[in-house]
Amino acid sequence: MIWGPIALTAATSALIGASLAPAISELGKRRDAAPLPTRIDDGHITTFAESFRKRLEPFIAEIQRCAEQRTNGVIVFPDCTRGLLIGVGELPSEIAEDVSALVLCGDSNAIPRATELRCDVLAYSDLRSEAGATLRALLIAGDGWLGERCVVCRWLHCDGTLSVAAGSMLYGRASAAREIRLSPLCRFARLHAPAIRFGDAETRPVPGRVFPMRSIVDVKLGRLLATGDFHLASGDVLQGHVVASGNVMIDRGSRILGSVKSHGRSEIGPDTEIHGSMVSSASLHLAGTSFLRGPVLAEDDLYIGPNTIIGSPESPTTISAPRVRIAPGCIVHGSVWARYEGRVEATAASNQFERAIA
Amino acid sequence: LKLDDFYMFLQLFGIVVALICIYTVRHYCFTVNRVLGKQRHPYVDIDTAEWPEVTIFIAAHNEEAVIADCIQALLNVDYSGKMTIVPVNDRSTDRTKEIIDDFRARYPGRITPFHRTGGKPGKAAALKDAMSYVKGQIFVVFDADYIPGKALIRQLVAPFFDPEVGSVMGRVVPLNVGKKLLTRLLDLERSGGYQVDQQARMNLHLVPQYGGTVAGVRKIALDEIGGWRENTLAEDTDLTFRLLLAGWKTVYENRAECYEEVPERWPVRVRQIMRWAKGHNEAMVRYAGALTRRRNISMLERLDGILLLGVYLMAPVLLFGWALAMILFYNGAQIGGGVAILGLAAFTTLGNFAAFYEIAAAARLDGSRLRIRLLPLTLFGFTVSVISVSRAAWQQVWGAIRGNELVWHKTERSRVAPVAVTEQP
Repeated sequence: MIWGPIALTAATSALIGASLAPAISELGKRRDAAPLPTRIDDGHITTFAESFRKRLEPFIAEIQRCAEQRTNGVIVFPDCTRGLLIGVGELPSEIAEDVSALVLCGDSNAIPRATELRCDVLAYSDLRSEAGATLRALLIAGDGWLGERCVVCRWLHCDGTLSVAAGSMLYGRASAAREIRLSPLCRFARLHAPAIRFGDAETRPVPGRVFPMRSIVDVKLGRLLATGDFHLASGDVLQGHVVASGNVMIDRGSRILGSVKSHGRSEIGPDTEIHGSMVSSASLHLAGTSFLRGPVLAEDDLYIGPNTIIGSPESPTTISAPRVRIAPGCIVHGSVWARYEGRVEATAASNQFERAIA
Repeated sequence: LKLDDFYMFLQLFGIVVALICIYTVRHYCFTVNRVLGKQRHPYVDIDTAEWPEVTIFIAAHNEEAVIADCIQALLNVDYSGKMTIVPVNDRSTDRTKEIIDDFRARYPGRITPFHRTGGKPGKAAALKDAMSYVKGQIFVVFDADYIPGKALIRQLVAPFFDPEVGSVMGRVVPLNVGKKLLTRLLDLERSGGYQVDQQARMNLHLVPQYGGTVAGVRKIALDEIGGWRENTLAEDTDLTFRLLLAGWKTVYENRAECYEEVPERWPVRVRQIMRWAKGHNEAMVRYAGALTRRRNISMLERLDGILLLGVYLMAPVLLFGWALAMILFYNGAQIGGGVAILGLAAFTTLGNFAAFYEIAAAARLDGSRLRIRLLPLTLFGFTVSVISVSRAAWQQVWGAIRGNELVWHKTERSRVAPVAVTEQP
């Protein structure tokens, strides 16, 4: 008679206890009680390159000795992996698994055709890579040339000018202290340089500043709130920001002295100027020969037609979209982020624009 | 019960259950979107730009325990535009003024303190006074217990390149997690609230909420809506809705993370959540009507805005529903299904208590697997919150009848010495 309630109480307590046991255990042992890690690095594109440079810093005397005496050498890192210093001769045909860094410190550093390097590479001066090379990561202390169909898997930084031949792929981060030149059919993810030239883009003067020495955000301008689509006719000039809940169409030769936000698709005609940012919640098509001071953001595909200039040498900016297609002839000052894929492709943007306005 | 009363109670019970279901569906949608949907971080990539001048306000009322950490962290941030740090010392009676002046002496030109010795109490009133003295178009606001990372200011300022953005909210991450059960529960709640709730609203183009700290606001937008409202207990919610009604958007930057100190004692927590509840309910009374009528705001935004304004009302509604369920049950009503919904869904429903599946999803997204084991204990936090929020609502109604003015209570700090935040890879 008495055992029934006792058994029920015991069973209920056991069930409750079993469900709470993991919680009480974690509360007592505090195995996951630290604050969540937050991102406190500066997020700069050259972070990996700088880390690699720092890793090699203790061996700088050894590297200089190899460079001056034209000899080869070996360095050993604290994690017991090795670094090969190549001051003379060609790259070894096979590189052992425990080699984590390769330092090219010869007169003319060259990576032969179709070479595969699975370690990080430092070129102590200029570097020329022949066609078809596949490299893990590359730090170039001088100017760099990548031949056709080269692949850089993780990151690349060049202290001078970086030139990349047709069909190459730059996964991860690629940056240069002076300039990046990307040939047609190159693919990229994240680029940064004071000037990024696509194809044979030539330096052209950018339109003068409408708001001297001030960020567009600092300028007090009115806003035009458009419910639905917004259309600026050819040759019109608008001073102020535009926010449209629909599509935005800006015709040839228009000027906007402010920023533009579109919740739909945006079509920017040729020879236009936007002296502020261009933000699109959908796709963004720039027909070409335009100037945008930036930033330029699209939440869907971004097409940039030939001879477009984005940013300026004194006010570099950012382009960001999941997919970026840039036609040869464009110049971007600052950063280009293609979250999934960026491509240097002729006529992509102009075709899209022609279709859209047709 | 008389038959008429019985049916009236039954109808009221049906309404409560329907409301519970609406909020449950809302939070399920958020969780599914966050785990499986397309994530929107449109401004996170802006790393190069002509950065605007930014003024950083640190709201401080008797913050001697924490303000030095905050100022020091701000001095170390990486921002290439012009940046002015303005500690707003609001009538402090401890060493806050002394600490701020010491920083000003050590970093001349970088810190411009604003010492306030009188005026209306409260953060909104203090910020309103301080902002009238500064230039610049972008203001960023921190509470004194926050410790910003190096890239945080850039991340909070980047969305202002979008001409539609009036305010920006970053993610708050508790620092004193391991201290007590309460801090651990608040850590879970914050994770659910930011990692899932706020980010899902950002993903779905709904109404992310300006939170008043780790947050930025555009001056021209603030001026357009008449500046800070002094007579409110939740200036953040108030601002979110005034901006929305004026055609400005609030955006959430999940990767703009900043450490904060969460309350370590239950009475402090109760006071905090009661203040939030009162302020939120106040905003609901002020803006719900206008929001339903505003045609230039999308239908989804209006719906989400109304539901957001109502989250703190759900606590008394829930208690009312349980009371109704008992009355109906003892009067022979067949309400098994409704009771089941109340029992199972209620705990998962209340927005700012971060429904448990939002917490579970957030723990997974944050990659912190073991803390998810504490999930059953969130029942304690839930119980305290339901009672506190209901009490706040009752006080508010009673106070309105008696004509009492709302009183702003500062959240007490527990930190006793500066903290060192270890750098994560």
